[in-house]
Amino acid sequence: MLPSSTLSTDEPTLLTQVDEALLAPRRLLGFEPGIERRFRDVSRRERLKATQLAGVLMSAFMCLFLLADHAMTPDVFTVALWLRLGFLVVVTLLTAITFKVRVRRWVPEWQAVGISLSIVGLNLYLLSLSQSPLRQLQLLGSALVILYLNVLLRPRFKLAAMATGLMLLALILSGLSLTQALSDLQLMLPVLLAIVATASCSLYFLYQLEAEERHNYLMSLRHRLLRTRLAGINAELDQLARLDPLTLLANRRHADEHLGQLWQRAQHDHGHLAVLMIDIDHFKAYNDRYGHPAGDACLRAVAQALKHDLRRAGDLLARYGGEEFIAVLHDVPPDEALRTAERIAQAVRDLNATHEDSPSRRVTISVGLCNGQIGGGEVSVQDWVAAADQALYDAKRNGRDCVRCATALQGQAAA
Amino acid sequence: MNDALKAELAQALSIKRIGLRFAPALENQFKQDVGPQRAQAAMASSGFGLVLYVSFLLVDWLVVPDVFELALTLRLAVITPLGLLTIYLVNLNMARLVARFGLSCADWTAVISGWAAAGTLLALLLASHSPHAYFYHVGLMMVLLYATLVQPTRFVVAVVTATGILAMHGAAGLLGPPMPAAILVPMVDMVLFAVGISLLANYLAEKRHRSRYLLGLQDQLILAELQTAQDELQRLSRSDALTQVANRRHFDEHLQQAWSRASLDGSPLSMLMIDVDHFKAYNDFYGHQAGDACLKSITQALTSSTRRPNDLVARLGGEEFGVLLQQASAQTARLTAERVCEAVAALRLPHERSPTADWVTVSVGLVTVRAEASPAGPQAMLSRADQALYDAKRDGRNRVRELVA
Repeated sequence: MLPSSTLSTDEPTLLTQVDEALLAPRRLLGFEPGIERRFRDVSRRERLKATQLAGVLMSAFMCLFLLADHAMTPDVFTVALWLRLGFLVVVTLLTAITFKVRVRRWVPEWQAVGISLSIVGLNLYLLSLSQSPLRQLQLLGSALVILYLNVLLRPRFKLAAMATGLMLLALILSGLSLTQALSDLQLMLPVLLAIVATASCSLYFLYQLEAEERHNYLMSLRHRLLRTRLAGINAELDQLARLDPLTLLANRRHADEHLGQLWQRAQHDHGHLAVLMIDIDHFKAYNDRYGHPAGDACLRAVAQALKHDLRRAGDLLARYGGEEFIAVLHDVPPDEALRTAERIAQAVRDLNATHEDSPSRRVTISVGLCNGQIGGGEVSVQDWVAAADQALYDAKRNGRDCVRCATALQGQAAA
Repeated sequence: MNDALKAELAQALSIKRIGLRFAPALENQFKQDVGPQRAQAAMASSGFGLVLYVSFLLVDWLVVPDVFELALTLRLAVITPLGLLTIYLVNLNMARLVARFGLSCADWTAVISGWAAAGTLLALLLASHSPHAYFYHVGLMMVLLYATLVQPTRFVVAVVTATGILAMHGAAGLLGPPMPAAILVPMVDMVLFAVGISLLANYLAEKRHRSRYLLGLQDQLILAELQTAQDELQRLSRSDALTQVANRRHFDEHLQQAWSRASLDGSPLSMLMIDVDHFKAYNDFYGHQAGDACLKSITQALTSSTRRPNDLVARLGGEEFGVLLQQASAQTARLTAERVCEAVAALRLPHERSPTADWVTVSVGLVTVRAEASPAGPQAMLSRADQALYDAKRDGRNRVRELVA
């Protein structure tokens, strides 16, 4: 199960939408409005680039048409020259503008469709002027425009399908209008068939390509969302591994790690280290009398009080076990460590939390302290913790609510 | 997925390249993974292609009526049976062929069917004396468009097919009837344009197809990572930090599940409530660290005395443990409880302050119930086990007491 805290509010729904769209792609290629908008924003750049490239290639395309005009319909070549060159200038200018001006999302697509429709219109106009016997074949040039639109410009499939349908309609109608005798069909029919075949192939291709593009977009989106989720879980794991959920202090696991690091550093530069073992007095009795919820609240209050007094950077304060805490202070002289221990004992006393089953009638702590300079001797970090534990035991035996130092080890380490 | 593959995948996803081919390991994996699916798609689309191929008899009849008989023979009597036979044979041995030849199966299908269709047109063009025979250059173009835009082929294959078809254009130009001068230039223009466009289209399609594959692989990776993290989270939130066995929460959940299962199949359910004797004294005398080490050793002893896969050992609180045994007879549960008691004593962990023994011991409360006959539910079971534990303590500790219903 995933704690909801790791996800921001809209991500789970978005992820669900993405998964649904992946599982059941729509036949007519579209997403929920929200995802569709994101998708178009992302694919906008690519479409713009395709349109710009096609605009740049337009001069080559026009040369191709002029060559065909010259060969097949020489009678209208002059008109063709002027019209095609004029068209080229317009398209080039339009394309140039898109390089300079930030255009809206739909502009490249409609520009692509507009250009293609215009070329076909131009071709049909020239065809209507011409009397050349080969003008039937000129229709095939418009099949290339369909390819140009669907493969090179690649607008959205729906738009492309509509534009292609429009062009096909115009081409078929004008093809039929050119057919005066039945014998004309002998060439016209194959020409029209070739055009329809070209249109079908290119639309099929465009459909597949867009379906794949949409699928890939969904997958990337899904990966982004899953990664966010993963980061959330990892953060949670990190917390869980380091924090005690009740007091929000470091937990034992973290305490052991951190203590090891502090110890190594202190050993390296012969620094001072103070380990404080802190235990709440008569806590079992407190729990029994006031109940577990009150016991938890008490632990939290004590943790707060300790935290308030022990918040120097690099020091460690952790919950070590049930009612036990550990504090490790680095680079403090022995008397300062003792003063700190006294101060936290006072801080807990100052909480004035009632504890009827304690002789002092309030919640108090006992502290065992082990401090001194760490130097290359045989003393290990475990010895220090054990010594602090022993000092804590002394404090308990001496009537609790007090601080005791582990004198023996301190002398040994200092020596 | 091995590390080399992961590294190649990460690189392939982060770097935009013009080339299609992946790094070696990834490319291999890609071919293995998409081979079967590609081969099947190629087969399916070649069936459709065959239908189209035959339907172009109409064009033959219109454009080259003088060789219509040849067209009929080629299309219906030669290529179609051959195509059908190939499709049938390949379908018969699809699994084996794909396993053996992988992608090349799809590749060859595409190349050969493309060339066969184009070859038919070339033959008709060369044989015919119709004034419109040159129109078959347009036909060749259609074959190319179909082979590259509709058939799912790789770019290399598209290039090979296109080269072959271009060669046929050349052959038709050289060997066939001379083309009218007015048509020559536009036709060459058109063919070159179509070749360019169709190769571009095929390139784009393969690029997308390959990205799709990469994203699919990445999906597997992310899901695996997510799964690991979630498992870890589960584990951490259900296990005790000190002893690594289940914590109280997990024990309670497990008890609920075991209870419902036991109610359903009528099997017995046993619970051991275990408490370390005089643990406070141990802690005070030996220190907390020794106390922790003691708890860890006891956990070890508990885990090794409960051996069946469904048994659950949990640390319920300070020095208290619980063990849940499913589908164990009362006798097995009793034996297990005794084994636990003995295993801990056998550790011989010295305990100077224990009035019970010179070493650490545990008291065990045992209860075995038939869930379907106990309306009170799992909570009652817990308190009965507690009661049994209390009995064990009262009777002198270091022993098992069972609460008999």
